[in-house]
Parts: sequence; C-alpha cells; structure tokens
Amino acid sequence: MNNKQRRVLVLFVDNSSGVLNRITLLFSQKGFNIETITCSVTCVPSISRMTIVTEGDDLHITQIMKQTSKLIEVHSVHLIDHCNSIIRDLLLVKIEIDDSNKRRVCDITNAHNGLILDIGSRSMIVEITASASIIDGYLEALKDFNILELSRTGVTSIQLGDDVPDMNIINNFEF
Amino acid sequence: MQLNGSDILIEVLIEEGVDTVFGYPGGAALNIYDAIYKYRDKIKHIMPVDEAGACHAADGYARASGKTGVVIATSGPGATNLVTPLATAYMDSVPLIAITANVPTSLIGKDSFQEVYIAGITMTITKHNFVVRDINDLANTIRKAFYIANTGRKGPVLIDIPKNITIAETEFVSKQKITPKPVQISSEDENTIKEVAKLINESKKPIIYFGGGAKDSSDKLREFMINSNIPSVHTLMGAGVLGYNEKLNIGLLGMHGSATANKVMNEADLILAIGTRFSDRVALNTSKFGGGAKKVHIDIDRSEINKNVNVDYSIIGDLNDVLDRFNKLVKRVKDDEWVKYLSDLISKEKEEDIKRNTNKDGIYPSRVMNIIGEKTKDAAIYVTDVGQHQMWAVQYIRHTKPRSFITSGGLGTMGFGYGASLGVQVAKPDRRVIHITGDGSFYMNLNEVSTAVEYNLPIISIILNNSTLGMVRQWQTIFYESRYSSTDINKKMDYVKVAEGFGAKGFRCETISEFESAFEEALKCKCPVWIECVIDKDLRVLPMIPAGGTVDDIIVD
Ligand SMILES: Cc1ncc(C[n+]2csc(CCOP(=O)(O)OP(=O)(O)O)c2C)c(N)n1
Repeated sequence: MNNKQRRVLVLFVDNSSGVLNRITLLFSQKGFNIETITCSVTCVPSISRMTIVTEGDDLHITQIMKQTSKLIEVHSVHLIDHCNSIIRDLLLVKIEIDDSNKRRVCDITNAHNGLILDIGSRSMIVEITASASIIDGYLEALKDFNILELSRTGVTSIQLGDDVPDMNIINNFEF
Repeated sequence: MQLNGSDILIEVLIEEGVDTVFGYPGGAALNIYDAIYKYRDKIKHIMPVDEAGACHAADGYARASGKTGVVIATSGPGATNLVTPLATAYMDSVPLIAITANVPTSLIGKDSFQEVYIAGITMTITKHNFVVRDINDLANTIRKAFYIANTGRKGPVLIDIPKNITIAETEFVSKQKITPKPVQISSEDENTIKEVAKLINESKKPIIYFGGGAKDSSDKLREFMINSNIPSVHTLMGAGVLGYNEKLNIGLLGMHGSATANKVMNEADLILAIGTRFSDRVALNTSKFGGGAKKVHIDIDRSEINKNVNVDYSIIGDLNDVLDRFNKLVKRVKDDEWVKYLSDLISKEKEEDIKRNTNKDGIYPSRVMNIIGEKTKDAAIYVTDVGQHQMWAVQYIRHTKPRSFITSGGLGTMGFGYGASLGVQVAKPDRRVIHITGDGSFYMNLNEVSTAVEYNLPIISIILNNSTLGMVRQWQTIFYESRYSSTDINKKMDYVKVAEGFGAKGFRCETISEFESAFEEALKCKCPVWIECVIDKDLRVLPMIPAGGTVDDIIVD
C-alpha cells in the first residue's frame, strides 16, 4: 500500500470564483503538496476541468479524493491512469545563444520535437509540448547552456479512446 | 411579489420552518434587522452578549432540537466573532446557518470600514459558504444552504450578504421546502451488509462502538444491540444515544473511558463502528486500536472510511436504513459468556471507583453528578464546557435520552457551555437545562448569564471550582513534573455576589450536603442559578490513557 508516487488527478468543478481557492486550501490543510495545477473551462460552460499533480501513497490519494469529492463545487474526481491517457505539459524557454552553440541548441530542440518560435541576436525561444518527463529531459540536455527565462504550464491530460469521464453532476440543485 | 433582500431572507427562513434566530446587529446588518423588526410576530430573535454567544446558542438549539440553528451577525468584527463557534459546530457536524452581512459590493475588496472576507476565513470550518452578489440569487442560495447543512453529514453553512443586496428588490416567489433525501445504500454495500451480518452471526466476541452519528438512530441501535445481544461502548459524542441503564451498554471508551471499555476493544473479535470516526481521543494508538478484531465501519461520510484506522468492511448510508437491514439479518449471539464476562468486569470497575470516591470529605464530582441525576430524575438536558468537569459529567451523568448531553467534542471549545445552554433552553423550554462547567470555562462566557436573565431562561450552572485550569494542570502533573505554568486561577471573585449583580441567583457549597440542598433550591428557582462547588485542585480525571497509548498504559490511581 505504501507506494508513494506521483499522481495525476482530474476534477470537474463549478466554473465559479473561489473554487480554486477552496481546493488548494484543502490540499494545504491536509499537508499535500501540489506540484502543478491547471484549470480551464470544459465543453460545458458551467464546469471547469482541473488537473492536479501531487505525490502520495494509495491511502493519501484515496483520502484526498474522498475529501475533494465532498466539496460542494466538485462534481467528480478521477485518478488518471498513466498508461491510458495523454498527459501533456507545455514549456516556453528562452536560451542564451551565440554563433558557436546555436546549432547544438537547435539539434537538441529538434530531437525533442520542440518548436523554435523566435531567434534573436543573443537568444532563442523554444516551445515544447510533451509529457513532463520529456520536458525534464530536454531541460537536462540543456544544462550546459544559459537559460534566461522559463515558463511551464503544468500538466493537463485526456483519456485515450472513445470513453469520456463522467462529469457526474452530483450537486446540481434544482431550486 | 416584489420584495427587498432582507424580506426575502426572512421569507425563506420562514419557508424553512425557522421560528427562532440568534444574532447581533450592526451597520451592515441594519436592513436585515429592520426586517426582523417587521417580521417579529413570525420569527423570534434572541440577542446574546456577543456573536460568539449567539452562534453557540444557535448550535445548542440545533443539537437539542434536531432542527437547523440560525445565527445572524454584522460584517467585520461581528462575522469574525463567529469563527470559534462555527469551527465548533463543524467538528461536531451540527446543522447551522450563519448569515453575515457585509459592506456593499461597491466597497468590497477596498479594505473598507468593517470589511473582512469572511467566506475566505471560514472556508475550512464550514461545510460550505456563499457570497451573494446578485439579489436574484439570494432566495435560492439560502434554500441551498439549508439543503447542504442537512444533507449527508450535517454541518454549518455561511451566507455572506453585502448591504446593497439586503435592500435591492426583486420578484420573490415562495417555494416548498426541499427535504434532503437520506443517503442511499449502494448495491455493493447491500452485499457488504449481508456479508457482515454473516460475520456477526459467526462471531464470538463482537462489540458495537458508536458515536454522535448515531444520535438519530437510537431506537434502531437499541433494537440491534438487544436483539443481537452485542455489548456496546460509546464515545463522548455518543453519550445519551443509548440509556446508561441498558444492560449491554458498557459506557465510555477512549482517553477517559473505563478500563473495561478500552480492554474490550482489544479482546473483541469483531468491532462494529457505528456513526463514529475513530478520533485520536478514542483510537489513541491507531496502529494498535482494536487488536486483532475484524473491523466494520458504518457511516454516512465516505471520507471517514480508512482515514484514521483501516477497516475490513465499510458501509455508507443512513444509519436507520443500515441498522434496519441488520435487524432483519442478524441473529442473537447465543453465547452469553462474553456478555457476562464484560458485565462482571464493568461492575467490578464501578465498585472500585465508588470506593475511591467515597469515605472522603469535601465535594466529589461523581457525587455531584449522581445528585444532579437523582434530583432531575435523569430527565434534564446536560450541557458542559471543556475540561475535567466535562469528563466527570460524561462519566457519571446518567444519560437516558439522545440529544440530552450537549458538549463540544471535536473542537473542545471552552466557553461553549453558557451560549449553548441558552439555545438549548430556548429549544426545550419545558426541560431543565443543567450547565456543568469549570471556573476557567465559566469565566470565558459568564457574561451570557445576563442573556439568560433577560430572557427568563432558568439555566442552572454547576461550577466545579478548583481554582485552576484543571485538565491542563492534570497533564502538567503527569507529564511535566508538576510545573504548573499558568494554570492556577487566582481571581478573588465572589460568585454569589456576581450572580446577584447579573440578576441571577448564586450558591456556594463546600460540602456535598450543602450542594444537595443548593441544587434542590435551584430546581425551584425560575431564574438562572449558579452553584459554585469548591473542589480540590488535585483531583484527577481517571482512568486516563495518555495520548498515543493503549489500555496497557492506563493510569487508574
Ligand atoms: C478556548 C479554549 N482555550 C483553551 C483550551 C485548552 N483547555 C482545555 S481544558 C482547559 C482547562 C479547563 O479549565 P476549567 O474550565 O476550569 O475546567 P476543569 O478542567 O478545571 O474542570 C484548557 C485551558 C480549550 N479547550 N479551549
């Protein structure tokens, strides 16, 4: 049971103010660390999809899923199956370059399916959309270069195949 | 019909069946209070000394009546005064609606006079909260709040209403109250019930362990206990759910529970945890709790399952439904040996306890509790504060009915007692309310005696005065080599005079016979009464299992 590992949770929540606050408060109250959190509206305008990456063992994850499901604005909570999902993170990075190393940076970027968005006189901007581990690998490969600026979105995900997760609107009050 | 926000608020409260609210006015709440004036024939408003008193009163009202308590406070300091009482209600799953007024929306977020973000402050101590920003959302928000407060595991819900919303007008259509449905048992859990019933029928040493969650299922629980012949133990919050004189009710479990109750948990082969949450005051050592027994957890709140103690089976649902099913499936445990063994153990323990507490001069808390029980024919509602007196009360008051032992269990809030007593007495005007408190706790809320006097609430406060913060001092004695840092109370107050100053009546007793006659007098009074009982500051609540310990670490002397 005690297998502490990185987990990806997807929550369908009300698209209203204060929801993000309530969820992050719950995580901090229970002592859970949020590695990344992303949130955006879904195809149903009143519902947002939140993707949270956290670390913990089975017991902790079960507890956090039960606790978050109890929140009134949370419609459903899903633990993402890594094998059966597409999990993506987006990186924007500005790297310092000069004539001697420009070629090498381009090669590394191409090898990671990165997109070169801009090349200036002293720097280059790259975008990579990939799994978090590929992005980590890319940054590792760039460790001998000087990174001027870096921005990552955090993880977002979607399940493979035709199935769609149940947004299960449990708290839809009919008043 | 076209109504303003304040009238809509009161109309929906009436829809929800509310006839009494507790509260305290202020600038941002002026429109609401104007409506309270207008509707004074339909809704009674009670104004304690401060918002904390009002909120504890609404909580006590809810605990005693089973209805939803309602408290109203103004913005800023009015709202923040609700924090401790809301946390108290949240921890004990009490359905409560807190209405806070706020500065107008145009001033929100600008550090305006008396502005606080009370929704943010109370997020983790309420079941849910709302900020109403549009008059058209007001009525449904209040209806939702009542629904949420009363669905599944109950709890407090806060609604923050900016001042301009309380005066803005809109069309109001009244609606029928929506009664929350009981939590349905899933088909998977239906199967678990069958499996567990089989397990119960096969077990030799089963035990029921119940808590406050069972308070509205006391009849079904009693039926289950008696028909199955399974003994039971209870938590602090479970006091009163089953009568003290039930043969199979062994009594209190946990830190200050009986040695027998704690021992039984280690010897049982099957533990049925019902409406309880394995708190650290009961499952003091989570890894050793329950020894080798199979554990079954029956509760309404899924997130309690495997939170503190891992169980073998869990069933989620309304306890009345679940117990109904068990009552059909479970046979009587034929073997009386287990029951006899436990009754012998507990009677022996009780005898020893009586011996310890008699043949001594002075006032002994156990005797005080016994006398209270005898004189009220065990039919009063007992409200406590927090400390040693609370534990003596739960150990020795003879609870006979649910909702008759009212105490802050989860948060352990000193200063809960008087405010809660006000609400209890308002909810149950025909029953005697006995408030059992310590000098430390009493100082935290004795100002509310003036409210009891004002509203003619004949609450009797029994103050076990040991001139110290007894429970903390007890820990200092045991764990800090008697270094009594800031626990002794050296106030020179004359309780009798101060009581009279408030318009109440006061007694001071130094012997048990003085107490007996004072209590008899008090029962005849129609006004609030204080009875100060001078007790020895070195008395300890026993037995005691230190935090994190097991029954092997129990302190009995
Ligand atoms: C608001 C609050 N502050 C502090 C505590 C910590 N505390 C728990 S019991 C206790 C002592 C209570 O003293 P008293 O009311 O005199 O009761 P006694 O234990 O003497 O019966 C204290 C300070 C608390 N429970 N609540």
